[in-house]
Amino acid sequence: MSADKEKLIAELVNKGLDGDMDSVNACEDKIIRGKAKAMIMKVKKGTIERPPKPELAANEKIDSKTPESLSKDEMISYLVNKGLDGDMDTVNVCEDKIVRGKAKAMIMKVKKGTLERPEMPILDSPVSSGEPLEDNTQDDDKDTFQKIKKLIYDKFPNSIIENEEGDYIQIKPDEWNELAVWLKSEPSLLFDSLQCQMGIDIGDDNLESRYNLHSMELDHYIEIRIAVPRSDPKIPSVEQVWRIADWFERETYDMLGIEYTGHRDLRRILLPDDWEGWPLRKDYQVQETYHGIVVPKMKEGWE
Amino acid sequence: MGVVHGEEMVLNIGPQHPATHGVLRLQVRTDGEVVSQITPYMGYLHRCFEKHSENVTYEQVIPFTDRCDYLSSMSMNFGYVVAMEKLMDIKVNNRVEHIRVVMAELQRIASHLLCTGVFGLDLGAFTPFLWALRDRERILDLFELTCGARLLYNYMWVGGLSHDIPTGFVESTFEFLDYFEPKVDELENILAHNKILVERSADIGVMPKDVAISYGVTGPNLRASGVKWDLRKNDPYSIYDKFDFDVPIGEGKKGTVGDCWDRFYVRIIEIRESVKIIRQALASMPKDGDVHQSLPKKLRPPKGSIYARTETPRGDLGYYIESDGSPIPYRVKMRSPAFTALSVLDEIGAGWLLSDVLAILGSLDIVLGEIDR
Amino acid sequence: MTVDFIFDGLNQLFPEFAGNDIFLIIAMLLPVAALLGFITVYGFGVIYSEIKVSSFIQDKTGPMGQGPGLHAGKWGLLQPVADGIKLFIKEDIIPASADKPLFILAPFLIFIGALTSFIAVPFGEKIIITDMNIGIFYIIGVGSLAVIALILAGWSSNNKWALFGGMRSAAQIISYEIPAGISLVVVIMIASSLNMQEIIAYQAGGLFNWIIFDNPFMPIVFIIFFISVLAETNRTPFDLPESESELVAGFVTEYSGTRYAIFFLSEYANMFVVSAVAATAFLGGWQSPFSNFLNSPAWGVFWMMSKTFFLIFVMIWVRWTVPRLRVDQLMHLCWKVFIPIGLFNVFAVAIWIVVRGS
Repeated sequence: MSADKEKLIAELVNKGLDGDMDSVNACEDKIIRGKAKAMIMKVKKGTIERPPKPELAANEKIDSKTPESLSKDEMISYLVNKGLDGDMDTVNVCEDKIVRGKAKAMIMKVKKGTLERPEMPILDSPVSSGEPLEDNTQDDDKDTFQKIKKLIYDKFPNSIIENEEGDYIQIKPDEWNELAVWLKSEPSLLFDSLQCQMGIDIGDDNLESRYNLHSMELDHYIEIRIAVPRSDPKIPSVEQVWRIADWFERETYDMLGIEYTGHRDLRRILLPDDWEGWPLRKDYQVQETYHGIVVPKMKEGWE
Repeated sequence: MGVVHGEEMVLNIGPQHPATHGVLRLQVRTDGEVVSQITPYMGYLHRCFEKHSENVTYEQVIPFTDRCDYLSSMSMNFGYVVAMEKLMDIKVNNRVEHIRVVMAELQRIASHLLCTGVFGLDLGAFTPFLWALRDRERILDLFELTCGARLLYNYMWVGGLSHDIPTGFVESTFEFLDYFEPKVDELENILAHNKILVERSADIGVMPKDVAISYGVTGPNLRASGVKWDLRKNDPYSIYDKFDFDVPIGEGKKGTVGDCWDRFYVRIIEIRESVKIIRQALASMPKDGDVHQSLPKKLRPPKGSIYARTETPRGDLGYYIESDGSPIPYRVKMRSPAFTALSVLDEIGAGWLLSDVLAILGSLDIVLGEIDR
Repeated sequence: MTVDFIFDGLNQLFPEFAGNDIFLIIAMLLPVAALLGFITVYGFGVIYSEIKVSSFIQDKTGPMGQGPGLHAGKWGLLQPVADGIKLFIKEDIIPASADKPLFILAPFLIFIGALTSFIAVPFGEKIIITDMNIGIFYIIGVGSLAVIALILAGWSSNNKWALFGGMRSAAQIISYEIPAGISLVVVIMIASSLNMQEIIAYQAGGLFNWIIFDNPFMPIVFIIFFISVLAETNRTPFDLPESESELVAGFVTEYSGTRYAIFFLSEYANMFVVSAVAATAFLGGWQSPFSNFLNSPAWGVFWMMSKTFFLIFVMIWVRWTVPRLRVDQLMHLCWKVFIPIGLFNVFAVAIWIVVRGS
């Protein structure tokens, strides 16, 4: 068992003995929780002595907050600062080649005087802007989401429609194409993969087009929703940004009749070209006959 | 010497054609035998999965998912129940998770066997196809033993399974794996290193990384392009994080990274990795645990939406489920991996000979049931 | 030879009608009838062996009907017969937009090519229908008739797949005739004769007198010849004209029933002819591999048949093992590999003959 875990157990045992069993129970790691509880029992019985309270030194925490958790830009500034302070080793051991290259280039520039020295990113504050985008735990997901949302808001303040609840970003259709191009190319976002695009009839005379975006490189997700009125469902096409949107948009057009302006080949994809109506709209009425063939009516419910 | 251009000819491959793996129509423009443009037309197998789903209860959607990709029904079930369990916040017990992983991996082997066999068939080698089918039969026997069905299982339910595995299943599966492992080498020997097959598939239909990502290509096709991306590793669902396995990527051993040979060979290695996972899962499977333990009395998810992805033999399968709080889904969208794989065909297939186009199509491993839904 | 033999026999049997023209006609028709019978029986046999050999290779049982009656016979022995009957009683469909006369002509033309090749095939020391002095040349010539038939079939079907198949087969067969011909030129040089029987007679005296072991270049010549005739008979890995997974069925796409059966039978008949030529030219024909042992005329038929059927078996074996080449790779193999090597062989063997002395 690593020293960290032992310390954690000792801390938990002390807390538990001081009456704070909640923090023991809240510990997520089963093994540590179990060991801590066992030790508390033993201490209470008197078979072992109470472990010393571990000193969680502040500087230790800073060190454990490794630069790996920084985003790339901040990583570069961090390395540049280290390098300028004479600590080139830190720069050289950086594993990410691109970051290392960029940092070295920047150091040279700063030394030449063509660039100003970047700000040293703050390492010890967990709520700083240096919060990692890559983390997978739930809270961090929320933070990542908020951060992405803020980035988009800064760039396209008129596009975002504010909504408090929900883990998606509701935007207006007007600037969607520019926004999409920016989302794909912005270095801190890099949404290079359109996972899924779907259309939905959300009632209230609105249709919605939803995009699930994912970044292969940075491994984060967002969902973007664009609502348009049923009477005039027009959304700019992103077919040329993510090529798969070509077929996804054709499918949504096929099923819900959302028109993607700027799409180069907007035809029905699954249904025949001369089919009438948009089947996945909630007010869809099946046509009576198709080329003389009687179309069976959709049954209510299931028999 | 210049290239002689003749008159262009429009050729319809399909809807009935031996190499389209279902009812797909490819309209190709050819100049002699050189294909200049491919336009796929699908929808011949459209069975209104998404429309049907809006009219049945959540449980009744599962049999429909079976029929979407009829070659990997278990994986289709799996994706749906994972999405539903995320939406409803259901945790299933360990035994259920283990059985699910075993089934999904057996299904992956079965599906990859068929794919590699058919790839050989597309290139004119008939025998490996039948060898692959012979071994696939054994897997279907195992499925039949478990749930009575050989193709469309409806086996995984939201919160559990339809049946527990029968007595002797674990032993039969181990026996099958012992039999099967040498057969994979056999399949690899007759196909992968065959001079003619290498000539026919290496350097053909190269799919570069960025094209693959932009077209949303996933699964073995993406990995063959050199992207180490597997949801079982990168975004583990179920209990995949417990198992030790590798994610093979295309290395361009016989040609360029991302060519037909890589796409084919990645699948062969994945078969071996699946065998590894099954062995681990069977060995660590808990002896007790009720597979119906977490079945909800009534499937009535809270209002909200979920997009959940799983790794099927063909790639990322995503289910987008929108719930309005009633027992009937408001909207179910399936993001099918074969759909995205087919969309890239024109990009990587144009400019090759007619025979190559069919080889490329075979290497993409599409299932029309899933494309048309 | 056989025609003369029967004619003489009839004349001796009925001396009062000696020299009658009817005898001549009978003497000509009898071998043809026998030949047709042989091809039919051989067709059933070879189709059965194709099914069964592929079954063994593919780890399946193949047709296994048991007992007489409606089943396919024991071990599926009657399966080819059932297939044949099925094909012959099927509806004969001619596409509306096809070129009717040519469409009907094509299968007959290809069958004529296959059938007439048999005339010069030496089945035994005495059994050869016509022992012409340019036998080997004749077979190559008549065998090329297939090209015309295949192009006709592809063109007249008015189907793009058939057209592709026809064009591919024309390019393929014409190209591969060259390496096959060059290989036979080497044989002719060694045996100093175009006559099939004389070529076989040259190889008398056991295994090591066979032309394939005549000099170090001959095995290469044999391999080139065998691969080339594989391509000429449209067998996998050279079955591009009818490549099932690309061109649906190539030039036979629109054919069904009897006409289709004739195409099929011709393919198998051609297999026999080229195998027989290979056996004659390289493997000593009806000569026993052991000098002075099992070397009677009756055994001669046995040896000829075993050698031919062994080569046919190899063809079947290859078919079920390897994938198919692509059209440009096929041409590459022919023009850039086989023909240079073949020409080199002609040159080398010529020097060999001069140096060794005849």
